[in-house]
Amino acid sequence: MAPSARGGIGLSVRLSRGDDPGPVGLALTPTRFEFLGRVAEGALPSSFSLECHEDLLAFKAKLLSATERRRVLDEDERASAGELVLRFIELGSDGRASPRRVTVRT
Amino acid sequence: MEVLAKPFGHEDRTGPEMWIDEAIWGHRLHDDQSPWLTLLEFLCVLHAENGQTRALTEARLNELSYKPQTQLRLRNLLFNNPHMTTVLASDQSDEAMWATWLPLMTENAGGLDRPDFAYLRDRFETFQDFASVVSFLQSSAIEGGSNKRWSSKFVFPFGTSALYEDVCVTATGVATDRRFFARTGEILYLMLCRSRRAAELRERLDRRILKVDAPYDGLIRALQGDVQFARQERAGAYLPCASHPTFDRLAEDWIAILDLQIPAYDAIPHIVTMTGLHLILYQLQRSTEVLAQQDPITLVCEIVSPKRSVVRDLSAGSFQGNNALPQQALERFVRGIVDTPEWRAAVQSDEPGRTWPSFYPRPSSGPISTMPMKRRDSLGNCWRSSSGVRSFATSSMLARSTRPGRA
Repeated sequence: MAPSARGGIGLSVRLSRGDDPGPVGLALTPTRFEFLGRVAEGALPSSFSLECHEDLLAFKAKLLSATERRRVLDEDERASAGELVLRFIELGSDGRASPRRVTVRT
Repeated sequence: MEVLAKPFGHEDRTGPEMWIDEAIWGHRLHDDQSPWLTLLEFLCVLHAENGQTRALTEARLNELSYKPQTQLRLRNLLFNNPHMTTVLASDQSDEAMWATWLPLMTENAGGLDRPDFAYLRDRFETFQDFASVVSFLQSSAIEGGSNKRWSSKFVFPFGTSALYEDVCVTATGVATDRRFFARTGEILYLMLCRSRRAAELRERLDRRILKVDAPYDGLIRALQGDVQFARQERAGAYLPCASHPTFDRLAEDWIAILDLQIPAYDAIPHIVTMTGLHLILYQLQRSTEVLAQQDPITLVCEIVSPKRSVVRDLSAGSFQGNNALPQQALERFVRGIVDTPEWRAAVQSDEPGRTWPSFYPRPSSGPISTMPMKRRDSLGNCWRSSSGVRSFATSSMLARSTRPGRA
């Protein structure tokens, strides 16, 4: 949580110690805060406006962009030449997520 | 604004019989081709042309000819692979699962001369890994919930390996019937080629879509193996306007979206939405040009409310007015033919079939005099050829112009 550029508070996510990639911010309004709280509890409430949902999707897109940049900087996309390593997350019968590593020889 | 003549260089036996809506909007806007499928067809053309180092470039207007990818091994694995799930659930050893699935897949695969999927065993450590990757790519399919045939299903455009054309696969082979890639993507390609900012757009498409070494594209390459191409070039695309303000606005919006600091995968859905809007605007704009109307196109949109409002009435009126424009344009275009010198000469002539109107495609072979008419009136509404086939009848032109051809 950090002061928002527009005043008030916001989320600021930093994926590196330096400036590349830069922090990704989301100004928090009461509506957005409530929306995030509901989602955290496992619900995607339909009573919120589409605009609110789209705002969060745009935030997610910025986060993915920063993650992509970080991966490029860390050069961790490929385990080695000719191999691609993926981490699938699978849900067990108890609802717990468990990662599974998949290697594909390209 | 220059309106280009129909090109005659391309022999198209299954093409449109009447060149009417094609003359107004191009060959062709097709209502069964969603904006997503339009973009995928566009990317197919773009990738093929980029391979020939001529992306978004037209050496000569309306002479686009390209050889798209088919990627039939990939498509069989993703969309024509019903045995994978049952084999996975069979609780066999990994070796046994491969041994069971490979012959079934080889037998079931369509459109391949010599189906062989044995290379997959070297690419995945386990059958379950292979199934996970297939499931992941299936879940990202475009309009994945549709009941389209398997050869008309498409994977998300993660990279160039995921681009392929719509085909019809039968027991006798693979054919291009253009059921869902009905050339609207070709029209989109030509529109962007002819925009003022084509060069800037080319650079962005190249950097953000064509030349990205995306991990998911690597997955698709692993499944597909060597690239498969269509056997023949695809030609016959036509766009009547050498330039148009709609083309420039379309390119500007694409550039603005591609310049956003978001991954290309997230930019693509927005490009699809904007493309759909611009294609509608192009259709309406061309309609008003044919109708010689000066009023700007307006789309009144209502923010849905529980009660009927004035805005809703305006919105409904706007929709109906816009919806009627293409039909009015078609009618004006066809009625306008009656005023052409060729038509008047044909009406006066004893052998009207010998006079071939300049607005209408001339057959590449065969004597024109095979079209003597039995009866005629000033509009040609009742004209019939000696073989009983209706020809140049304005009413049939209007009826036909609502149904796209297949080529």
